[in-house]
Amino acid sequence: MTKTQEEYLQALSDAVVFMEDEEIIDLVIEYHEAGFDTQEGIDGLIHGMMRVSDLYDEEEYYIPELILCADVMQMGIDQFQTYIPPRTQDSYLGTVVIGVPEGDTHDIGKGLVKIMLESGNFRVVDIGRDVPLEKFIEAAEEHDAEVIGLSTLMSTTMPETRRFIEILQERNLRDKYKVIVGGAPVSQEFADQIGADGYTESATEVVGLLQDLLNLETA
Amino acid sequence: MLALKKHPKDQMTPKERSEAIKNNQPFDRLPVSLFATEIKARMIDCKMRDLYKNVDRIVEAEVYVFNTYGSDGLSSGPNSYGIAEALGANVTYPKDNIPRIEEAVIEDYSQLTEMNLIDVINEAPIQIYLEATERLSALAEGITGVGVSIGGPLTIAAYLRDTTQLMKDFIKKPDQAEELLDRVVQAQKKCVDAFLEYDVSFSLGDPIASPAIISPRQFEKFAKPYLAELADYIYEKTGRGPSLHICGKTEAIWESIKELNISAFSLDNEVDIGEANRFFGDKIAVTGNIPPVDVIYNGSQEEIEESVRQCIEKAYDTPAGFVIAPGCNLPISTPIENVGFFMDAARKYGQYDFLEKLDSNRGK
Repeated sequence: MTKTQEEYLQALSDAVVFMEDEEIIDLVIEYHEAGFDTQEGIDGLIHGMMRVSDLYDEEEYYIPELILCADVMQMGIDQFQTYIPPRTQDSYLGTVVIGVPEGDTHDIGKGLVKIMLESGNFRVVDIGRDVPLEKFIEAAEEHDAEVIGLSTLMSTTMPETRRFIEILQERNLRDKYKVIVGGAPVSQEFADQIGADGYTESATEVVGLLQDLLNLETA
Repeated sequence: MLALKKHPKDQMTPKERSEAIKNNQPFDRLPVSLFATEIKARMIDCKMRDLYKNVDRIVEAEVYVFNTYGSDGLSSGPNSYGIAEALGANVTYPKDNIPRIEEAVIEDYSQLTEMNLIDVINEAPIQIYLEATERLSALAEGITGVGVSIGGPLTIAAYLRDTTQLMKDFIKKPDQAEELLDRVVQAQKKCVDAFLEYDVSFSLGDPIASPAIISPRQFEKFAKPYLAELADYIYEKTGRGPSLHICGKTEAIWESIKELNISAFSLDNEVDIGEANRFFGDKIAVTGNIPPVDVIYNGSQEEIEESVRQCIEKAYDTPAGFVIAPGCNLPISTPIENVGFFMDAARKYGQYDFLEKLDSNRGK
C-alpha cells in the first residue's frame, strides 16, 4: 500500500524522534521516488527535531537522545540534498560562526546548537573546538556572518571568553556582530558581565534567541 | 627543603581540626577545600603541563597552596585523564593549557580485549602520581590528610571511546558500553590498591554522569553500579568511603547518590546547599559550593565574603560534616588575591564562635 505525503512526513518526523538511524535513508529514498517535494520532506525531518527539542525541555530526552536524533535528521537531510541544488546564502535567515574557544575541547553542546540553528534555517560555520579567539573573527569576516557563538564547558577556562569581546572592541568590530555564549557553567549573569548580546540555558532555545537578536519575524 | 607549616591565621592544623570536629570538640574554623587545579601553575610560575608530568612541581604546588592558604588537605592522584591515559587514551598535555583528548582509541568494542589492565599501575601517568603521593604523604604526616583522585568511570570511558560515541552507545550498544565501564572500574580498583599504602583518602569525580548530560535512568544503569562498586571497594579497603563530585544540577539523582557508600558529596554551585544538607546530612557530608566564576573569579572581596557567609549559614550544621569549597575548579585566570579573600572569608564566617552564634540564634 502506498503512503500519502502526509503519512510520509509523519514517518520522517517519527524516524527522527525515535532515533531510527537504520531506516532513515531508505525512507527518504522512498519518499523521493514517490515524487514528493524535497523541501517539504526536509521540513518533515525538522518537525521531528522540534518534537525532540520539546521532549528535551520536558526532561524526557537527554543529551544521548538529542545526539542520536540529530544524527538521524542530518542523515536524512544529507540524502535529500542529493536531489536539490545547494542553497544560496540569501535563502538563509542569517549566518552564524560557532566554535569552542581555546583551552576547551568539549563540543557536544556546540554540535547541538549547530543542528538547532540549521533546523531553524540558519547557515552555520562550525570552526571546531579548542579554537584561538582570533579564528572566530577571521571566520566571521570571511563568511559574512551576523552572529558569533562561543560555547564553553569548563569553569577553568570559561573566563577567557571575556577577552573575545575586548578583541572585537579593539578592532572596532563590536557593533558588526551579535555575540552569543553558552555552555553548562555559563549564566545570564556571566553573559551580561562580559557584554555578550545573548545567552540561553539550553541549545533548544537558541533559534528563538537569534530571531529576537536579529529582529526576525518568527515563523 | 619543602615542609608543611600551620598557617599563621589558623590555630589548628587540618589534622587537629578534623579530630576536634569528629569528637564534637571546639575547633578553630570549618575545613576548606580550594579546588585549585591549573591555577597552581600561575601560583608557582610553572607550565601547566608540569602539574601533570613533573613530580617535583606537583609536590611543590601542593605544598605552596597549603602553606600560603592553609587549605585543608593535599591533593594528588591521576584523576580521569591519568587513568584513561594509562589505559591507552590519546591524551596530550599542552605546555600551557589543560590536557585534551585527541581522538578516541576504542573505535570498535572488539578492541576491549586488548586493553591492558594488568600493567595499568606501571604506566607513567600512574607512576608519576604514586611518587608524588608518596612524597606528599611523608610531608603531610601528622599535619594533614592527602586525597587521591581516581576520576570517574563514565568520564574515563568517554575519554577512551569519545563522549559523543559513548552517549550513542548507551542507546544503541548498551551491553558493550557496560563492558567498557566494567573494565574501567577494574583499572580504577587497581589504582586504589596501589595508592593504599600511602594512607590516603580517595575521591571520585564523574562530570559525564551529570544530569546536564545523561538522564536519571541512564545514571541508574551506566553510572551508579560502577560508582557503587568503587565506593564499596574503597570503603572495604580503607574504612572510609570516597568523596564524590558530580557537576551541574544533580537533584534528580540525589536518591541514587545517597545510596552510595560515599563519605562526602561535593556540590556544584547550581545546587542549593541548604537542601543538600537536609537531604544528605544524616549520612553524607556535603562540600561546596561557592560559585567559582561569578563569585571567586569575578567577585569583589565583599561579594566573596557574602557568598561564603550565606553558604556557611546554610550548611555548617550538616550532621555528617561540611567542607567549604568552590562549586567546581577555580578558573585559571582567577585573580590570585581572590583566592586569599575566599580563604579569609571562610576563616571569618567558619570560625567556631561565629557558628556558635548561629546555633544560639536558632535556639540550639
